[in-house]
Order: sequence, then structure tokens, then C-alpha cells
Amino acid sequence: MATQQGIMGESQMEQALTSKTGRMKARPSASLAVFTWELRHRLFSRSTWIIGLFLVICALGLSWLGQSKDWMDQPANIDVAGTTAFGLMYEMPGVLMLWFAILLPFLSADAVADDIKNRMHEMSMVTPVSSRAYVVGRFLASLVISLLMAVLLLVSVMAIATLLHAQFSTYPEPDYAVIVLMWALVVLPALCLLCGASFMLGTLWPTFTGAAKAVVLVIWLFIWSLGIGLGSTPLGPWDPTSNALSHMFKPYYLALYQAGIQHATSTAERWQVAHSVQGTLPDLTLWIITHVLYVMLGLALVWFAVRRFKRFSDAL
Amino acid sequence: MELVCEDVGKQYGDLWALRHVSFSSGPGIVALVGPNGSGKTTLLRIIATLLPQTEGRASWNGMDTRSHGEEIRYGLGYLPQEFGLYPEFSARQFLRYMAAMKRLPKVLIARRVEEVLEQVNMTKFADKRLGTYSGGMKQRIGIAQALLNDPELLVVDEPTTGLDPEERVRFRMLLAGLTQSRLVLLSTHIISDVEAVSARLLLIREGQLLFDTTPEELIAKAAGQVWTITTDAANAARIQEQCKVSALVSQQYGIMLRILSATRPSEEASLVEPTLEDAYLLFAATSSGALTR
Repeated sequence: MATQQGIMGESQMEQALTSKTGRMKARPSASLAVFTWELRHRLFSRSTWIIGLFLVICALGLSWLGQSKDWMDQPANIDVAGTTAFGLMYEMPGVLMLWFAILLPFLSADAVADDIKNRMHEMSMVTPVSSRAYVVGRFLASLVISLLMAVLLLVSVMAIATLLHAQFSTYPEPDYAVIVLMWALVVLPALCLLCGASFMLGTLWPTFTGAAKAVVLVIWLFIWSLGIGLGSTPLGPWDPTSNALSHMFKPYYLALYQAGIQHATSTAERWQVAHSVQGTLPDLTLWIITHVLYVMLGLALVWFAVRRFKRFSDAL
Repeated sequence: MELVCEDVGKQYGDLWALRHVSFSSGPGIVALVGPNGSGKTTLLRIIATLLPQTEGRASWNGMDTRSHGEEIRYGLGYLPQEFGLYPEFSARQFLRYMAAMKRLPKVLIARRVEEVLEQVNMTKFADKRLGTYSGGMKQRIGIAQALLNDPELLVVDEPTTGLDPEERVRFRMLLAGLTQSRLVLLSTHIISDVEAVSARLLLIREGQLLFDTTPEELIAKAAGQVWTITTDAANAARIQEQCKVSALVSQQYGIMLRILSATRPSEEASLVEPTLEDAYLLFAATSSGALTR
């Protein structure tokens, strides 16, 4: 059995264990320590992998099912492919992000509250890690896990786009840059906002995380349901769920298509025009600005949680 | 090195869980005893910087627990009464995690983890997932995490709960070996643990500090109040209704009772030397009914 006297006899150990400054020099960032260990903890968790697997299966299945929309030119029966720029304006917020949004509160609301569920909160709170470092580290870990899930979503869409093009000659060749851009535009701001809101509620009311998730989801679904109406109003770019996106830009694509087919003489030419139009990106500057603000709002909510976190004193 | 509590009180709503608790202590083991709900855990949480007190002042080495929590926590080890562990981690991973949270330098973490695993006799199970551990094994890992940073102030709340007798003795030995240049605050219901390791005892009842004494002094206070008698079942039942009884043993020729009473409970009763458990039961129990049933 090792003895404490043996440990205390070594000056390096003694200084390191008892001196705050000694420890600060050796391990400068508490947030980083909390982040790396929490990330490891989450990656060891079976539920993280189950959620990831569920997400990939859903994303692959839904992308496959959403491969075409039959609205562009009813007489000619020309469809919008689900993985083109315009198709993704429907598919990404209307189907994929809707599913992903339901998962996100489950990935972030419990990031701090899990310590209460695991009855680890007392042991965590008597460590010298500051409240700020603890909360920031936990948020960063949940954000990274959520981002990894979002990347799985992206990869699934890319895989289905590639597969559909390989399977059907009429299916447009995937433009991976456009897919990434639409993903970044639709998924990332929503992810930051949903994670930030869920994390804030779960952190400040750690014994009510179930209610926190429900509140976030109900509000999100309500705003999502407003998206179709918002698309034709000036408020369209402010829709955080991006469900207004396709409705906002539908006139733009229709105008492009109508202009393109004026000189088309055959169905094949109309298909070619349709494919070309679908892959075009409109000016999204206003959309990007508003959604950057949503990213900042998500981070502001986290900062609010950092400032208000009381080291579980209400739960003791 | 000094822990000072001055008139510490903690109020939850209208209820005072702790009131007017004052004591101070230097290095050594101080046992905190008292019935369930007496305020022991609340006091330990205040000292461990987990809870702010409603009134009074608690300080460690002159640092107020409310305003200098982070500094105090660098030299603090704490084992809560009830805790869980991350079931996904192995013991070794969990202790490395806790070492990082305790801000131990990276170069020392691996070595220190192995040392505390050895101290709690868990080295051979260190790579098994914590989710597969028994209650006693989890308790030993809880003790190990409290020791990781070689704390100057070690606060342990019911540390031997769930440990088998052999492990309890090992833990007592471990505590006894830790007392040089550190203060150990030990809250326990197990009086034999107090007898084995502690030279000082704080008895808390209903949020008030009743005695700040030594085990010997508490035993001395109980002298002349502990009796024994061997009698039939009917008489034993009558005595139990009237007096506090600390032990009841069925024997071949009747029932042997150990009675706590300031006056002779029966003509046949004979005075015996009190034990620490007798003394504790005599002073800590809130009513005779609590002891007779």
C-alpha cells in the first residue's frame, strides 16, 4: 500500500498538489480539461452511438425518399431533385432538419444536468474548476457531439446524392460544394440556436431537463409550422428553422426556369434547363446575415447560463 | 491549518437545518455523529463549499468558504454520502477524469491514480467498467477520488457505508495514516469507526452541536446510566416501554437487556461500564421510543 508520507516526501509532487499556481502552470485551461474529458465521456456513452446510428439511418432513408419533388413544370412532369440547391431548400429544413431538431435538445440539455442524474454533482462541484470553465467545457463537448451528428447528416445526404446519380441517369450530378453550403446555411445556425437554448434551460434548471426539451421543441415546431407563411413575407429571412427558404426562393427559380425553357424545343432540353436551374444558388446574403445573428443568439444563451449557473446549490 | 465554524446556521424555507454551530479544529480526525436528519451533511456541505450558510462564518485557513471556494477546493477532498459514478468509464479512466477536474498536473495524474487505486485495494479491478461494480467497490472508488489531490482538508460523509468489515478496517487504517498535517472530518453512524480512529467527537442533534468532546469524555458522561438485566419476555417488554434499551439478546435462561437510564430500572438490574455506543445512544436519540423499537 502506498503511503501518503511517501508521496509528500517528493518535492515535485508536494508543490504540485498543494500549490494552486503550480497546478495552473501545468494545466493552464480548466475549460479544455472539462471539454476533453466530457467529450471522451460522451463518446464512451452507448446512447451517443445509438443516436448517431438512428440519425444516419433516418438521413439516408429520408434523403432517398425525398429524391424528387414534382412541382416545377407539371405539364412536362419535370421534378426538382432533392439534392440540388433548390431541392435542398425543401429537403434540408422541411424534412432532414426537422428530424435533427428533435434530436438536438437530447444532445445538449443534459450536458450539465447529467451530473445530477449520475449523482456526480457534489463531487464535481468540490473540484477547483470554476463554474465558468465547467459550464463552457460541458457546452463545447455537447456542441462538438452535435456537430459530429450534423456531419453525419451531411455525409448521408452526399452519399444519397452520389448513389441516386449513379443509379438514375436522369438524376443530376451532385454538386458537393452546394450541398455543403446549404447544410451550413440551414443546419449550423439552427444547431447553435437549439443547442444554446436547450443547454441554457437544462443548465439553469437541471432537475427539469425533460420540460426544457419539451419547451424548446414545441417552440421550434411552432416556428417551423409558420415557415411556409413567412416565406412570402419580409420576415422570411428571419425564420430560424429555414422552412421559409424554399417558399422565399420559389419565384426566383420559376422565373429562371421559365426564361430558360423559352428556347427549349424538346423534353430533354427542358430537363437540361431544369437541372441547370435547380443547381443555381440565389443571392443569400440577407439569409446569411440573419442566421449569423441566430448563431450569436445561441452563444449568448450559453453565456447567460455561464453567468447564472449556481453550482447546483438549488439541487442540494 | 485551521477550520473555524462560528455560529453557523442554515435555513431551508422556515426550517433551520443547522443553528449556532461553533467549533474549530487543527490537524487530526474529527468525528461528526448524530441521528439521521440532525444536520451533519448540511454542515459538511457548508465546509466543503457546496452550500452557503444562512448565518455565521465558516473558514479554512482564514479563507471564508463563501468567498474563497475555489482556493479552498484546491486542497479539499470530499466524499458525499450518496454519489454515483459515470458507468461508461473504468475506475482508472474515472480517476483520471477526477484528477483533471482537480487540476492535478498532467505529468502526475497517471502516477497519482495508481497510488490511490492501490490505497483502496482496487488496482486489479481498475479497468472494469464502473457500471459493473458492486456498491462497496463504488464506495472505494469514491474514497479514492477524494484522496487524489492529497487534500489538507478531507471531508467524508458516511464513508464506510456499503463496505464489508475487512474493507472498513482497511479504510480506518487508511484514515489513521492520513492524519499528519491534515484535518479529516468524518461523519458516520458507525460508532466503532469513531472509536477506532477519532480522538475528537462532535455530537449534533436537531441542528445543534450538543457535545464537542472526546470519546472518553462522552463515555464518562454516560457512567452510572447503563444497566444490564436478564429477565423473562414479559418483563423485558415492560422495560422496553419504559426505558431506552441499547441491546437485547435472547439467551437460554431469558432475555438480556442493556438499559440506558439515569435511575436503576429494576431491582435486579446491575450497573455496567458504558461503551461509546451506549453514550451515543443515550445523548443522540431524540426519544426513548427511537431506541426501544
